[in-house]
Amino acid sequence: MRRIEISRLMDEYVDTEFFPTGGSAASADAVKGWVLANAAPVEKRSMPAKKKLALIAVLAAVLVVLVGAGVPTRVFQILGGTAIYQELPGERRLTCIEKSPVSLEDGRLWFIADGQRTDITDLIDEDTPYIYDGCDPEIGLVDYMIVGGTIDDYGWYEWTDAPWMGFGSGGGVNVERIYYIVDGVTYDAESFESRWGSMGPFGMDWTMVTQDRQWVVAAAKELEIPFVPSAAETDTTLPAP
Amino acid sequence: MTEKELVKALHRGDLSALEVLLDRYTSYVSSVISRILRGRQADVEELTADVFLAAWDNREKLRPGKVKGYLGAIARNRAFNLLRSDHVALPLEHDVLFLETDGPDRELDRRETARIVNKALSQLDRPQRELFVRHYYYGQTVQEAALAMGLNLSTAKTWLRRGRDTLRTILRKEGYGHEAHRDLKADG
Repeated sequence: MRRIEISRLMDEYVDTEFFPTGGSAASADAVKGWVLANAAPVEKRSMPAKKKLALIAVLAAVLVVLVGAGVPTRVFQILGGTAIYQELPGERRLTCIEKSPVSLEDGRLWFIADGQRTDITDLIDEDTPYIYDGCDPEIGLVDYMIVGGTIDDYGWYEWTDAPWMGFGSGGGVNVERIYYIVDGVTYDAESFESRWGSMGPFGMDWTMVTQDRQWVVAAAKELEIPFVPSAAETDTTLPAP
Repeated sequence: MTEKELVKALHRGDLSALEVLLDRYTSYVSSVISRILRGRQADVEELTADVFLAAWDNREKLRPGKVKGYLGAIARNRAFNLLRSDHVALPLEHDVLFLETDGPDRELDRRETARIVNKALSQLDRPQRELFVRHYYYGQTVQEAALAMGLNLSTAKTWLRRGRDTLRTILRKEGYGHEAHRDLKADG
């Protein structure tokens, strides 16, 4: 008597027709960070997945040189997470997978990096940044983390550069104010969206304007690094609403 | 980025293409795994990541138009294998077919298995095929699959039985066994 499990036969099947949806999903950010940080040649990842995470955790400031499929790739740790530098044909690219270096706990703002926690609540405000130096001369890495604002409205910006990359890269969260001018009246983003939604007022003349936050401008000036605002027209002379 | 461009970039080893792949399919892959693992949420993220790493390691196998199915197959099989290795019973209706044989069992290799399964499924009409796939491939219970398709339970069970009979008949015709006495109650 031959015993055949249907579910094992179905191991060789590929559904290209139904793709049922549903079921709870994993955290896309967690999965992405994990995968991109580990997308290296197979021989680098022969250990179980849980150990892989542990390895990443101890890679801080250690440069790993990997070569996958002929594309020179460097994966290295930056203060906010993992950076992947690639030299593609005719293009150099840096992909960063970052998470917030700041944690708000019981009304206090903690900066977390290099395995240390620092209470920065009283060290920052709208004009005053907290700057953490994560530079690593051994690998030529320039890495600054800048935090500013208040416990109700804080943001962070990280600047990364290295001579072997040939370019610097900056990115962060809540580093600029967004305003909207509707028929000559200035609204903050919240007021604007609560009135008209994200599509804006129909049939009225309106413009989106961004304004760099002072703490990041001050830090960029002090460190002599570029601040790369994310979008739109910038106007530092705009009056507060 | 079209899927053709995406696959081409993946073949080149472009990590930003892997990021696009993750953006497009993480939700699908994790839902396939989550449905099979049922409540083992801690394993879902790890397995989902493993699926994409496996796809990245085998990216030369990716083909335009078949990416989602390929990822789904890896996800489904990894989730099933995890349950099998943990000796967790799969919630499947009559998962085992018994076929009588005269001599040594004829080898059923992977390619041959795929051919036979596809042949059997192609002989079912679309709703019956969907039910069969939902149950034996995606691991939905009969109740879940029936509910999702708006079927009553007895109809669903009848359709599944028809699917099993079709599969058994093809296996028999292809020389993998003789007439089975009955649909033995040997659920996996």
